[in-house]
Amino acid sequence: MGRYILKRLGISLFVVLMVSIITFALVKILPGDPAVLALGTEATDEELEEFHAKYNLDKPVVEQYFLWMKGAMHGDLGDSIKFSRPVTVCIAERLPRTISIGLPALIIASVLGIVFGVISAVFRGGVVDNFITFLSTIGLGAPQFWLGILAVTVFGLRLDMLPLSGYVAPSEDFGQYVYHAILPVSILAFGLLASVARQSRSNMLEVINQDYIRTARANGLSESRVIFRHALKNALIPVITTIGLQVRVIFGGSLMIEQVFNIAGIGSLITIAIQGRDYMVIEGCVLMISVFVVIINLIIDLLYGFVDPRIRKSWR
Amino acid sequence: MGEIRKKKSTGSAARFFRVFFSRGIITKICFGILILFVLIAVFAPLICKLIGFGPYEQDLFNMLKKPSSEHLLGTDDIGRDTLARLVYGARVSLLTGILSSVWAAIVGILIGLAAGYFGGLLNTVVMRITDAFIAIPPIIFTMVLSSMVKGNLLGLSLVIGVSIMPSYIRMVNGLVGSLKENDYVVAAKLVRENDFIIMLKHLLPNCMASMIVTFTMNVGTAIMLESTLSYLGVGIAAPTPAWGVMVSEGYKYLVNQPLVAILPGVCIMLVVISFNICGDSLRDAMDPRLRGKL
Repeated sequence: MGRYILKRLGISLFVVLMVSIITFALVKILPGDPAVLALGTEATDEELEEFHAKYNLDKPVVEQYFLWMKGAMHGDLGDSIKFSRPVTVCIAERLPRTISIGLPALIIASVLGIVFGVISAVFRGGVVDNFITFLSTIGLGAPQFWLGILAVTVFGLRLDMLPLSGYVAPSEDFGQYVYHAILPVSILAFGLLASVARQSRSNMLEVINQDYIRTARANGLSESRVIFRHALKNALIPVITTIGLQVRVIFGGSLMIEQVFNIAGIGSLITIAIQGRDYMVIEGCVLMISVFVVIINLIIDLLYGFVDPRIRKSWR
Repeated sequence: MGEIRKKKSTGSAARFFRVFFSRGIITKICFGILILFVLIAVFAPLICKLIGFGPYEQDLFNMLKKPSSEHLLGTDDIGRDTLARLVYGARVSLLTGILSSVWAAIVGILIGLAAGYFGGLLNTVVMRITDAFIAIPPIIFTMVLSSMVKGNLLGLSLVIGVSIMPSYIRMVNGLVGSLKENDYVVAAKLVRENDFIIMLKHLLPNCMASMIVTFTMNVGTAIMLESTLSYLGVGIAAPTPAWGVMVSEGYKYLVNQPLVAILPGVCIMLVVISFNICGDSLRDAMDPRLRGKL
């Protein structure tokens, strides 16, 4: 098992390395000179050169990459051109806001998604199943930005129940935080909930048709015992993967949610950085998110083994 | 002999359509919606001639108007006919969606095929690079790259194509990994058949079912990405009537004239859902064993 974990760790490291190369290349192929963008077209050649030297832009691309990686390993992602501050500071400032919207969304979506999916599967073909399937179809098909602006209009403008936009940190005033976070969290959770519910439903259906479930029923076990003790455990294992993948979706979704609800989080930082060609910020944010996603997936892969003895066996 | 073969093929076609539509009325509706939107996209100029307004035509006396006999779905803030813009928006969305899925399929399938067939170190490296691509949220990936293409449809479809390519690589790679153990592949190798012939003639056709299903679902994904990028202002550039652009333009007038922002969203939703559901039904019809895997 130790060997498996080690191998898995090695693979993750390689993936992170690839991510860093892709991210760096992605930003490097963008057109335009960041110096001109930062200093304006009026800048003299000397000023431009000085700028290039300051941000290592005068060095060969490969050397730039190694310098960037060297910094990244020491926790230095370079400086933001627009904010004139280290990228790590920008991220540290904004990350809590994105997490305080994304984490509740992830938790709500996972819990409700599993509950809905299981109910849907147990009462297959009934009214409840049809309703849940309908909702999850909408959740997967409706654009988040569109749902967001509709929710703002209906609940914010028409009914005047919830704030139009803005953000209050939970540490400042928890009541206000909840009041401001209801809409963004719900919109973000809706899409996730749909995919978790869908996955749970199809897994549950597959498990319910297995022989050992029939055997359990034939042995006279109560239906709730069959569902909760025998079926659920097996059905939920693949759902963990789905939930792990959703971490990526949360960061992607925060781009739209933070734009619609005017929240200064990582999503809006990336939007600003892309619009203003703030190279270091783009690189830093993409790298951070991807490394985060890789780590979560690694943890899930390892969790699998602890949850499922069959997988643990295959590790040897 | 010929007759029997013919009979058999019509039999399987009938079975295909029976299973395809067996999910009840929903698949039929979704299939109908897709056909409808494709027709709208193809005949967009004709439809605009019929309603009397082009997608760029400004009717400055009728700004932000409610639906009327003149403007069937009303007008936007500079007096452009909403219906005409929706009709042309279908063109933009479907074209981008299908094109990006085509690019992704061509390159992704070839990469997945080669990596899966040759296996070994090549396979490991290709799959780990694919993992790395998957770790970057597609919307961020496409947003960074789309600033290069400057609102150009073809360029945008390439960018979106790159971001959905990993799904093809993974799918084909997994299939080929198990297919290549089959006797017919081993036999082909024994008679020293060319590797490319084996891949294209023996392995590729066996991936067809999964490929068509993945393709259908990816068109939906691509349309969603395109409209999100257009909404954020980095996809299709205004004034081109893309649905995402229309939502972001109509946002400000959501209280006075909500149709301008609501309708394009409804269109996106209908098309994406239809592609998803048709993909599901296709999977059931083509290969029931794929259920739960794709």
